Amino acid sequence: MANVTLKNLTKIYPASEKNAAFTAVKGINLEIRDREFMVLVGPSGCGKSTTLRMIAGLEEISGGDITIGDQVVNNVLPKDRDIAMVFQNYALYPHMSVYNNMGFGLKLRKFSKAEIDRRVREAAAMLGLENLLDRKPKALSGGQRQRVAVGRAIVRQPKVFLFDEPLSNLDAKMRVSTRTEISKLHARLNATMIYVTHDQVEAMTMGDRICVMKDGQIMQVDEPLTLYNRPDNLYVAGFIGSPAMNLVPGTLRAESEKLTFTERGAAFGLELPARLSRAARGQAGREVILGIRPEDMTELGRDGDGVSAELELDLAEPMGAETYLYLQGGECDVIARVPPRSDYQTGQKVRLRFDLEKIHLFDAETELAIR
Amino acid sequence: MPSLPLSPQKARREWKLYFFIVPSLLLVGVFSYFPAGSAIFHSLFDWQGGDAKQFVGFDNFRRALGDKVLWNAFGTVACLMLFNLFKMIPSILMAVLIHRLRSDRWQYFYRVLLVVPMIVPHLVTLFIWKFFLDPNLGILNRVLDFTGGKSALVWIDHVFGWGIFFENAPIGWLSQPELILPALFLWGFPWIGSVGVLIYLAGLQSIGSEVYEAAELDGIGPIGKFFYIELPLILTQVRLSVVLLIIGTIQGYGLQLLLLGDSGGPGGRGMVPGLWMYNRAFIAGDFGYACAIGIILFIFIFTLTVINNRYVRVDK
Amino acid sequence: MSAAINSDVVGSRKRRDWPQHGILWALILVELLPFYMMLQVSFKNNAQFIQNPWLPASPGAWHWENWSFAFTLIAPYVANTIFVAVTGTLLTLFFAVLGAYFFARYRMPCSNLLWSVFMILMMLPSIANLIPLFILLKELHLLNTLWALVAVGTAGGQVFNIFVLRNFIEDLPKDLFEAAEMDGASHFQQIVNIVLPMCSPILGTLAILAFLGKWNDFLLPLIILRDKELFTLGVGLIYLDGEYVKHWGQVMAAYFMAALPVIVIFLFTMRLFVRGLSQGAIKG
Repeated sequence: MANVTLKNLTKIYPASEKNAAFTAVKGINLEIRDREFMVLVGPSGCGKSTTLRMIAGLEEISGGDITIGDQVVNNVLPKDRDIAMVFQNYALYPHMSVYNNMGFGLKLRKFSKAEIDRRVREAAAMLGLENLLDRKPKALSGGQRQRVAVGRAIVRQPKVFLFDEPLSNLDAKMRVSTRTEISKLHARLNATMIYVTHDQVEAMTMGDRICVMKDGQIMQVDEPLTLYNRPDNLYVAGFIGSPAMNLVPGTLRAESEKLTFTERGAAFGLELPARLSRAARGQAGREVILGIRPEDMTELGRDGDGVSAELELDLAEPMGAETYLYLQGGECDVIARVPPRSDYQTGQKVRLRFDLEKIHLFDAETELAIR
Repeated sequence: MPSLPLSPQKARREWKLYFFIVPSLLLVGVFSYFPAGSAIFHSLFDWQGGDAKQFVGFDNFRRALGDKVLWNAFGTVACLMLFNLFKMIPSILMAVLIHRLRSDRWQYFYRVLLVVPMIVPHLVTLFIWKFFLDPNLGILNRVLDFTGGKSALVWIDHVFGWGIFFENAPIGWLSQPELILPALFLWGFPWIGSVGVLIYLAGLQSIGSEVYEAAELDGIGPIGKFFYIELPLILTQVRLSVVLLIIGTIQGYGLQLLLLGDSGGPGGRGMVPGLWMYNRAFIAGDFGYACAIGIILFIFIFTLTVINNRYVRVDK
Repeated sequence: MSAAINSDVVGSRKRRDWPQHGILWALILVELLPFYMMLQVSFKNNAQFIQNPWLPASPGAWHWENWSFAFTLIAPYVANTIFVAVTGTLLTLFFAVLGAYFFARYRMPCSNLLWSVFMILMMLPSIANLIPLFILLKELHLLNTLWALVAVGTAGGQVFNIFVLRNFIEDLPKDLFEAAEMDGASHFQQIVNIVLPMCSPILGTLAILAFLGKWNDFLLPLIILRDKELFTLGVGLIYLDGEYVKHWGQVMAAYFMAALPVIVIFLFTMRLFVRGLSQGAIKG
């Protein structure tokens, strides 16, 4: 069984002459299931790489436990943890051929030449590297080097694969194709993979589950679409999805039986749907943040009804298949995705209807979703 | 890039790494620190090299202060230092000359040619020069005879009454006390230090041709170019060379030992402090005193090094 | 680039370099004179030399036996020196790489303290060390051995080489070491598979410098070697020089042979060295 359990995992960097002590990872708990593709995503400094490196054994654990399979590996050396890692800068041995790069770990573990040869060639075939086995890394392109780095991990047949932002150094096009290759690899090898990235698109497209991190803590762990549709907090809501979800601050008011939301600058107000009314019952006067995704807004013509807000257009960005409208009103700025049209004028009034089934509400203070 | 300090557990886990530094530490401790400490210790003793020592406090140092030979030796070294500073000039000039050549191919050619004198071991060069200075077979005397230089020297000798150069006697460069310093000056002619030239050349490479063109327009001649353009730019390397030269000349004695023998040649004119230290220890067997001389030199040079690091290096 | 003025510039006088070439050639010829003399005298006997000191003797009259005599004379010295220089260089660099790795890889506790131990030595002149060193070697019963020269030479080379190598190892990408760690490489294996291949240029330069230093060393050998069979080149040449009656032809041949191994090494590494010296000086 190749599941990985993080229990109360903490990493503190001790104080030095120049800096105070810094807690990079604050007691996180995470269960990565056997054969799962788990993505750790978050901005720089959120602790995702540190967590990965602790799982790898390249960083010492300040507190908590890491269990791989049924073994607590806190004090186990990296090479004995039955894991393999793909580094951001590939970390290929420059003086060895591709073949030897891939076989090095096996050679050190005293595998037989025949076995090494078998595994290396098998991995090379999987990755399309058969013709490059004799080349040295400097004669390879970035994408090829990346594949060699992956190949080096594959031949070890580890329990867990670790990926540390492997696509950051590739150009955009390469990134897309390599992304699909890694996903296919996961399907083929059916192994547990833990993948770190700062790119939420990578996370959404590749992960079985995604773990969103911020400031050393886990914000939410869920399947991609769940994160997309049911963010637990403000941070996740704003992090997942591009363009980001619109987050509009405002207040809740009670009007007869119903609760309404009023934008802080009084640009618009709307009645909450039943589910949200129920969840926010008795919290009139509360400061909240309304969340609505750009694609959940429809533009209404002059006569259309059910208008939620009428806002002023700042800028229209035609993307071809659709147009992004940058709108403002009161104290809020909002982006809407609408079908493509070319006759927008700055300053014109745009009438929008929000899909009330898709709106979210977050407490302004706790930042948690109100459900 | 240099690493952050390790967490205590990591450090504990990597304890075996300390083994990597042990051999170097041992070597350095035994063969560098121990002798240094021993020198300081023994400079306070009357010690003939055996087990018998007698503590004499600072007597050795007092003796050194009154030691005429030692003082003369320092004087000689000062003189040699001036010689050596002067001898830096040909290297600089050569670097400038090569640098000003038109063709890059010729430049490369000369650079390669310069490597030749660098290859031959210093020792061999030294001995060949000793051969040159030989009164009977040496070519220096032959050249002087041939070019009439000898006659000129004899004539000047008459005028000043030196009593050194004689018509019928071959000039004893290394056997006449008065000629020893001149011999030390002459050796190595034309005084081109390949390493120095190459380093200065490298420094000069960084000057762009626009500077020269501007100078042309300003009407600055070749000598002006040297003082205004080239010299300032290689000043750092020159300064470094000067410092190394001074420190090296003060403590050096291998040259004198080989050319003149362990007493500094006839009349002891070639005696330098380092040689006197060697002499007192290995010829006279006065190890304690020799240590004291060594410590004096040590303090001298250490002070110079500190001054260099603090004041000279900073404005680099 | 050279300082030559672009001849496309309007109005510039086309300066001939002949005077410069002239001076340069004059300087170089005088500079190379000793070696020319060494070569041509080595083929003469003393009589020929006295007759005709300047020009080479005619090939028919060349005294080849000067060379064979010099060879038998010098060969043992050369062998000893090769032993001391090669062993010394290998050991020096071996220990220096280990030491530099210690400092560069992690900042272990007490690392700063240990580093100062080495750096202080850089500032300390070793002039006074000779005498106690002699006595120390005597106590260790290492007088009159070549191993003493190897040991002292190795110790002397540590500080500089560790200093230089530390910087180079610190510049190597850290994740390369981490990948090796995960592949299961011990620190020593990491040195062999990462540090050595990636630092080979600087290691080569350092090796040459170390080798040359040991080759030219004569002071310590002079005072500690007693047996003629053990003499290194430095001492051997001094000894040769001390003989009263000198057959200069043989002596010159001996000098040339003393220089030969170094010349051979240089011929192989020359391009690297000239380029390296110039580039290194620009960067640093």
